[in-house]
Amino acid sequence: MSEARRTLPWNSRPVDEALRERAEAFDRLCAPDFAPVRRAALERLAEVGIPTARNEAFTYMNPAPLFRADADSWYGAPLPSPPEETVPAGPICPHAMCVARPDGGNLLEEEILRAERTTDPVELYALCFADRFDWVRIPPRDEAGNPVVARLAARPRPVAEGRLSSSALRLRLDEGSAAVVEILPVENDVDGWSHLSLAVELGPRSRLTLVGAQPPMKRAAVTSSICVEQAEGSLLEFREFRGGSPLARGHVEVHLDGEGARCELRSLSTLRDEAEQHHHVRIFHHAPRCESDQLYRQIVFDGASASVDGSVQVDRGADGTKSNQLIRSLLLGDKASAAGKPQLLIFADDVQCDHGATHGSLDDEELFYLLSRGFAPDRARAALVAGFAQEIVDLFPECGARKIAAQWTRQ
Amino acid sequence: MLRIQDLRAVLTENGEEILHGLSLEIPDGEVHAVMGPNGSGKSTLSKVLAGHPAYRVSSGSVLFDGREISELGPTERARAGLFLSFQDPVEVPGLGNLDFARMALDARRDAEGRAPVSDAEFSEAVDRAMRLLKMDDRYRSRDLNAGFSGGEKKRNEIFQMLLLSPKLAILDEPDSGLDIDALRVVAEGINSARSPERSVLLITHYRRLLDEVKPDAIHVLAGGRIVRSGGPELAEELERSGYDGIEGKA
Ligand SMILES: Nc1ncnc2c1ncn2[C@@H]1O[C@H](COP(=O)(O)OP(=O)(O)O)[C@@H](O)[C@H]1O
Ligand SMILES: [Mg+2]
Repeated sequence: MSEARRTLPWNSRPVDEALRERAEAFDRLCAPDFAPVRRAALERLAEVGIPTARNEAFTYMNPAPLFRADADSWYGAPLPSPPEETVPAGPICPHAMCVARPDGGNLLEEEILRAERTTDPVELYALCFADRFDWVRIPPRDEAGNPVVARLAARPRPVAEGRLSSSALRLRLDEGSAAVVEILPVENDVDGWSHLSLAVELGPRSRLTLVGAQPPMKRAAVTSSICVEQAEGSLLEFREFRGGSPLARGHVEVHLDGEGARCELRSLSTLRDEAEQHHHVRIFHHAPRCESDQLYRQIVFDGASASVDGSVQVDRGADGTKSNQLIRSLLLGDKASAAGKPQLLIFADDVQCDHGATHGSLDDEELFYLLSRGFAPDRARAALVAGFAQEIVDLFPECGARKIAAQWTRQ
Repeated sequence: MLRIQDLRAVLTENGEEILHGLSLEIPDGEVHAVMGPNGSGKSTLSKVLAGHPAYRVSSGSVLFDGREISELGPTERARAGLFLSFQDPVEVPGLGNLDFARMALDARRDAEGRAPVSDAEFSEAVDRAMRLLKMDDRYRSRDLNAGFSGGEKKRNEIFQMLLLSPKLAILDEPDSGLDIDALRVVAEGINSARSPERSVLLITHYRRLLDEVKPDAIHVLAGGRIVRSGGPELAEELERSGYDGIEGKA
């Protein structure tokens, strides 16, 4: 694991007693098996402090509402009741082997290590209060020896009033296996916070399609951290739709560890009213001849805001790297805002990169073309916006997420 | 059908005049060609007629079907039966070709007080136009001009014209960039649209298209005005002496 992943050079404020007390009370109540993980996260948080707006991870977003320390803060609010169920989230296909309990194996140790090493401040904080961990392993063949494409759905914890609901899913694809994993939308739009932490290991030549769609939320904060480690020849296809919320943030981190690994990220946000959506993306090319290909499209209506804080790092020796990152925002109103530009850190030779960002309104010539065919101006704008979104929706596999994405981009 | 009188058009952005008092008349059912050198204002004329916001009419008048249209928006002009085939049609990925064509057709029908087109009627009209224009079946599932070659785009413009049956079709260089076979197909499409109720303003750079689509009259546009008008024989003269020779006689 590279040094860059372990350091969190940030400006922060100290963890106070209230937070410690709450974390300890939480431990007594919730899923005791996971207490060592929470403790590891809390210790690390005590070291680095609670993130503030000055943290480099929040260039475009104010995290204060998440980490508010006043009387009605998350950790001053009533404690959550212990989770009723311990079975994995959502329907698991028969071929996925599931370990719902860290039954003495090294899964718990790995989890502690993760808490000690995460680079995402939001994830670190959320892990202090995580009360549900699911581990899923996907073998390449079913019992009869036939290759399978495993299909499974992950259900993040619903939002609870005044609380942080935090859960984690760990996914391991064995060598040569294939899976389609759908992250179901967070439910319950109340004044609370839901975080999903997802860590994925892609074995050599495995293939994962990871897809999710989140309809807009009016009150809830919705955040996620996704970390994918890819062995040689593996493929990640990531598709997401985000409807935004008063505070929505997605951290995506991909480590291309093995030669010839490839990741393709396609993200669409449609933001209305006061909605926000922040993408925080870190792609690491650690090995030669890997490819990363990212496309972010954001449709931002009046009053809403979007950002992409994305960087690609190409390590020394990662020759033959190909990397694309394109960000395109449609700003539909004077008070719509979008920020973000791709960043490149290249320490290798022989690297092919195409990176760019445009934030603007609809194209005048496209608009005129539709008007000249008799489209009323509103109709023409709507058709162009829908077309802008459809190109991404078309890349979603058939699933619930695709329907959600289509539904929220068509109105 | 179309009567343009002393039309002056300026760039909205900075007031620079591009059309300097242009007059032109196209009677019902006739095909008139407009020819002229590069940069003479042919595309500007077509866009001004269609109501492009980059241009403003500073004086003169444009009567379409007896109605002054220079203050109308592009939507209203289209709904009144004016059609522009673009020299460089835009690409709109994500918007299906046929979805778009159907929405355009319904807009036109709506303006005529007709109900939206039925599935059967639409697919019949599409089939007919596609057959005539020898269009590939793949076209049905593609997005509006997305990734189309120059020739495919031109064909798609003519396809839309056939579907929408406008009263006046303004075709801005429907022949540029076409090989001889594609040119014949496009010409056939235009010819099939000729009718006593429809007029065509055919902008072209080359005589080749005029061998296939015989115009009723030819106008030469140079320096933002019509400098010469005549019958089909003008095309030959142009080919012999070039535009320079013609301008001199204006
Ligand atoms: N939107 C515009 N902005 C700036 N200049 C323009 C614009 N439209 C036309 N012009 C200028 O007007 C002249 C005529 O252009 P155009 O109508 O495209 O010519 P043609 O189609 O005959 O080749 C050219 O000099 C062109 O540069
Ligand atoms: Mg032109």
